[in-house]
Amino acid sequence: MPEIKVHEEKCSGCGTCELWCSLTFQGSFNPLKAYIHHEFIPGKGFKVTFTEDCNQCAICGDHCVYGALTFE
Amino acid sequence: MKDSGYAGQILEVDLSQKTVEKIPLDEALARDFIGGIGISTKLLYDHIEPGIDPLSPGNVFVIGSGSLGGTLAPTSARAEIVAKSPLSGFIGWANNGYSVANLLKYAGYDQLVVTGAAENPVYLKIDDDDVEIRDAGHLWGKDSWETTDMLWEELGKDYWVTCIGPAGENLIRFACTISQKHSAAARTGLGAVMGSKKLKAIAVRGTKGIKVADKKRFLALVEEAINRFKAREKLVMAWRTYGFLAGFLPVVDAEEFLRLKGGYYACLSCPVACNAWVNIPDGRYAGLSYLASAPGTKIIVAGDNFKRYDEIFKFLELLNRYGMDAFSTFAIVDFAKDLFKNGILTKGDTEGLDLGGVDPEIIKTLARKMTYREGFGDILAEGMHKAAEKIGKGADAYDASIRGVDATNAKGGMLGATETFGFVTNPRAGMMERSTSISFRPRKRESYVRYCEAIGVPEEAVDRVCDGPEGLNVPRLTRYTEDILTLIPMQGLCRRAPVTQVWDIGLHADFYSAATGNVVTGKDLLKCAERVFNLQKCFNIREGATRMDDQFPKQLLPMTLGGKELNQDTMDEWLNEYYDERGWNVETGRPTKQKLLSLGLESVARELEEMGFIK
Repeated sequence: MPEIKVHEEKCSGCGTCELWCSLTFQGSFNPLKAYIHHEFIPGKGFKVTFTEDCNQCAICGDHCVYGALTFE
Repeated sequence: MKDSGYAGQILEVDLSQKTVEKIPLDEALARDFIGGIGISTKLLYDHIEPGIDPLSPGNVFVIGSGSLGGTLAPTSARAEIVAKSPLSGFIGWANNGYSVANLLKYAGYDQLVVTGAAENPVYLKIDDDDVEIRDAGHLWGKDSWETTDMLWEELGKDYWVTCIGPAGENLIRFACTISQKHSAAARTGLGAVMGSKKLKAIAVRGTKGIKVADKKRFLALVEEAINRFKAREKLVMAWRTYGFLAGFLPVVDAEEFLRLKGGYYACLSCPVACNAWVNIPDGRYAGLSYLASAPGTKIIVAGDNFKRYDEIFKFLELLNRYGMDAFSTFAIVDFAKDLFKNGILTKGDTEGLDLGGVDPEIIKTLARKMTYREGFGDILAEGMHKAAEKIGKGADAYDASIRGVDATNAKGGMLGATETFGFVTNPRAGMMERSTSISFRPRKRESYVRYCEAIGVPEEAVDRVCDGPEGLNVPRLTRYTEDILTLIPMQGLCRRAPVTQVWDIGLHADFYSAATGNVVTGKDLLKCAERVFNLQKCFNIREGATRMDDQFPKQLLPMTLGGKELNQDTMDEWLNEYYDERGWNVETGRPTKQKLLSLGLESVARELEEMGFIK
């Protein structure tokens, strides 16, 4: 089964993935309600995590302009 | 206001009375002032009494997200704080990309209005409908990073934090607010306004969502806007790589900048990512790593104060922790050095500091003295203009401020034509944030004509605006640039170059219509922007501003803008043309009663007429 692959070195922390996810599954914009999250780790960059509710639908990857999320 | 892109409420907190009130967002207010800086300006104007001391409980602190804020509309993360500025005594505002305003909107509030002042330090904890004024005794005295970490520890990282550091607590007139440990709403001293209210921090969690009226149309517009960014790949990639330094590559050490840059980062929903996170690999500051919002601008304004970029990044960390505006800090450091070099200040005045050379440790000491108002720092902490008055001995000849707001960066017109002229005409004064166009380099007339079309200049005005051998009339173009750049923060968008080129007036209208369901034209929106700009001007007039306040400091003139020399003599002519293009009284530099009535500002017109300011 294809899975979302994260390329953290390309992540900008823009949260577009979170906004698409929240809109798709919660019907409104709010990054806190998304199944995907990012956090800045000093010295390392952005860390991307998924909640247990993520079903790998890949809508986040479809809209990442930075190429940080691909569906493989 | 359901499913309209708005949260639908305004939150009012009175720190003196310890009361919290939630007021439904008035439809007419949203229609006429759109959002963001528009609604905030109206709330400030209506809530504040003219003549109050900006550092007294009478000042009003308004923070709010734009009409598109917090959505997928590209770059809709910018939010403004508006208050009476302690630096100028006139209207002040500052914006940033990681403001708690975004979370406020998710919590259900378009705007937060803070009035009064607490007796002892407090912070606001806002968790959706639950709003508390909490004791902040344990946070007072902590720097902005420590404060944020302590609140995250206390409340959880779901909370976004906007706070002040010691500079705000100590009422430094150019103290700023810091959000999420890195994002500064930098200019005009609004951190000191929080400090005067004993408001250490605002911590917000919002678990509601924003819905738009026409989701299908809205998402189609998102795609269109993203495609426009993709079509400008070269420009976007230049900004993503170098940030603000993209325009200054011949005069900076780009290689060293990239060596110290860990990577890019973006504000919410931004496809550009012009910010950088710092990751210093070696040397004295090896291991220093943090999100450095717009570091390129600071490298430029740092000038010759630092020889090494790692020293600049260490200093910026310090300023972030103090909660002090980097632009004003560098301007006042340069001012103090000028005074020293010219014998107005001596080591006897500076507690032995030698300001004649380049020494990072001395600059750090100066910053600390200002932040804690130690000795000589107490005078500089008042800002350039007030410091010049206190120092005397001819220091005013080195005061490069406009209405008290340092404008050192206008020197030589290096930032561009409308960009520089707008330092004076912007009601906030200082810096180019309300007048960036395309005039930072010479262009053909056709380019200006196309630009006019993109920003909605009326057809009948285009020949006046695109006049002369350089293809532009600087003061007349400045007027229209200001209107579109007032609309941008009303919508909650970013005003940096790659963004403003995408967001033409048509896209503004389409997005606003799809989000709110209130179908408007670009002309409608520009009238709202003109209304807001005029109201900001009226704020200053009510505080006593006259045409004499619209002047460059003498030492910044002459300069060449748009191929023409601007000097003390031509300044009057340029202002006349600017006021004329605004439809204002050319003699007084104030809006006419007729202009205010045409913008629907009847009560403002009445008030200013009764006060004898307009006719």
